[in-house]
Amino acid sequence: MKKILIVDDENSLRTLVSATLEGGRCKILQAKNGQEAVEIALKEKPNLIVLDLMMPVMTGLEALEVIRKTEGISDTPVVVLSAKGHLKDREKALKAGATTYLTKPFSPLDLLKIVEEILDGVKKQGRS
Amino acid sequence: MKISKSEKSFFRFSLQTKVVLITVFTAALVGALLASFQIFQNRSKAVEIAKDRMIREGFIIKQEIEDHGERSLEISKKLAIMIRIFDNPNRPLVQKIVVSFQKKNPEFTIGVRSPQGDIIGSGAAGLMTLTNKDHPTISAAIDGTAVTSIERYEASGLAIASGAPMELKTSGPWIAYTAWPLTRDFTSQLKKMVDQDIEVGFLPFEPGESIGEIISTKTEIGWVDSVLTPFKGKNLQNPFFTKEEKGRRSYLTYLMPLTSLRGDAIGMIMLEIPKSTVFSSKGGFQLGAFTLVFPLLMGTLIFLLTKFMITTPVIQLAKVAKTIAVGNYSIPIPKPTGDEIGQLSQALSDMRLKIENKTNEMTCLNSTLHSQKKYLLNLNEELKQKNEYIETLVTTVSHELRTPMSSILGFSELMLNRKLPATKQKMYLETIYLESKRLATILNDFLDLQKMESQEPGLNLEDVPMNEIIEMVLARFHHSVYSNHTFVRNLSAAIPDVMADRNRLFQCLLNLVSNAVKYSPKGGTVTLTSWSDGQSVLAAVEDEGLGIPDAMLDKLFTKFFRVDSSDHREIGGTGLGLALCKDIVQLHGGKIWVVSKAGEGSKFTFSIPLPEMALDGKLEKGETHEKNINR
Repeated sequence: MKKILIVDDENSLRTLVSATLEGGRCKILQAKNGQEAVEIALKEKPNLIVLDLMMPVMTGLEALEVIRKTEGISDTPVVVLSAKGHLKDREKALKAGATTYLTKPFSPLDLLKIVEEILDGVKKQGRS
Repeated sequence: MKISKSEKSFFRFSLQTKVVLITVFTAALVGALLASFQIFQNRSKAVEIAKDRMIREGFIIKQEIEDHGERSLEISKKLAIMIRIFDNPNRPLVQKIVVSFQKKNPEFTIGVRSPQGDIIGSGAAGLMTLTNKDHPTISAAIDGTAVTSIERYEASGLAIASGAPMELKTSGPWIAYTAWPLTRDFTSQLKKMVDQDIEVGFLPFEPGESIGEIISTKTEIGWVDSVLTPFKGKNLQNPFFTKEEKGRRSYLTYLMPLTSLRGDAIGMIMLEIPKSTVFSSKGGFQLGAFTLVFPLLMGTLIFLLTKFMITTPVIQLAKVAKTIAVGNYSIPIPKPTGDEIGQLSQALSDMRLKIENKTNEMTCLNSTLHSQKKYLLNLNEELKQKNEYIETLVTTVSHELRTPMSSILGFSELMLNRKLPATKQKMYLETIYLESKRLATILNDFLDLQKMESQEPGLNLEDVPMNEIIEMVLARFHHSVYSNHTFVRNLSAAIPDVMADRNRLFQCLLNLVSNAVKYSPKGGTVTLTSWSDGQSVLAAVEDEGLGIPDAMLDKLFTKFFRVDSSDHREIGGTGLGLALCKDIVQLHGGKIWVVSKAGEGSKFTFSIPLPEMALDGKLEKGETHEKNINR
């Protein structure tokens, strides 16, 4: 069973993403900020991370950078899910190692499709 | 024209130095000219004096010769020529006397004798000279049988005088001057007797010999050096001339003709004075006091005139120009005179006026520009801040809106596309509902805030009792719902009404109490206090909740700021409540502040100034309000 780590400081969003991705074939893990995300990722070695950017304690971007540098989890695909819609934010995230970048509000079905593609190995590269 | 180095350095000097140099140079030039002129004059004078003396001397000699010649002719037609020379008081002047005769003149024959009086030779035929042995100092020349002349000798035998027998002079130093070469001893003694400085020329000639040319003779004894007899061809109209001796000194020479009784030229007398002697005589190089003093006086006069008429005014004007150049326009300019310096002064005065006016104008313009620049810089800074603020606001608002919208859209999409059990559907719908409410609240708060921050706050002012508003707010927090919290009133009954917008004040207090409740999730006491310090009415809301970390206190009243701790994000809120409170209080001219400690609760206090203070307060509020917008 594949593990997906959902990182968002908003409870409602974590619930939404969980509801979107839970289909029986995935185990959903949740974190409320970047720091928690890194800790859980190290412990659980998830197959994919859905990451918000604007979070307290440690931002998503900082967490992404740590993940990319940390042995064992550096290859984990990361789907950034952010309220930041600017092109430069997108570029910054992709440069930091995001696999793909989605802007809030998002379509849960699109997210599901992207996550499945990544997990099936179809999608390896960042996509807008 | 190329300027030489010395000229360059001369031009470097100051005007004053130049004037001094020019004056000194001019004075020296004039002095030199005067001195030259005076020396020339002195020399001419000396020459004239010398000429006079020579003429006198020559005349005496001529007289001697001619007188004696005449008498001799009368006696015997044979003459021994007597020359009176050595008692001449001007003797030192004339250093050389030469008497010469035309050859083959039968009337002039000269007798020759030895120092002892022996006749050792004769000139013209028939001349005989006898020695009177009884009187050895006197000898007589005898022509045939008659005595033609008597000569006197010293005891040594040296002939010292000669003359006609009747006029024998025994007291003066008369000398028989013979033209026939004397013996060496005689000549030597004669030289000794006369004067070492005086050269006596001899004309050794025999009848038939030419004497009309220069004969340079140097005898063995050395005192006869040269004889010049340029009688023939010499223009005696101008008897003075300068004779240059080769390699030696030059002489002022005077020629005087000798004539016989018949008026025939029979010979000449030549007198010579070395020129050096002439010029070294007293006064030759002496300069008059005038020659020395005049250039000094003239130089001083030129210097003073130049100084007072040119140098000083020019230096003064230069000083004025320099002073004007450094921006001091108050220096007095010398009163213009009629000359060019006066014109310069006038021009400088006009220029100063123009410069002063221009400078004032420029200063004025500069000042205006400066203040305009300052204003524009301030405006620019303001706009920059405003722009930054708006950018931040847009980002924040969009973020704050996107989050509830994500939930609403996401859950709706899931519900539309998936078959879900009723429980889940209900749960999703509840989330959609709550998030929609949150969206609405954010929009309302945001609009309120914007309205508050715009220029028309729309305050509806009236007399409002603070305690009444507090009660209205507390009525919202009913026991049944907020059972964990205890609300304590600590209200002063003696506070006056405030001039305020009732709804806004209510909103402010409601926000503060809501926060107190929200941020004390485990419950506790919420204390509401009101009091007056005479200038304002104050109200405080105190809780025993989570408190605010020190680092967050600064940003507490900024929009969309929440004391972020994801543990408490569930508490909700838009992050606009406190910003709104601040704007409401400030619009009323009051202040709001917080005292808090993380984990121990917070106390928010605000003040509303009393009506008589409100006017002052509003001004203060206006400023703070603006700052708030800028942020």
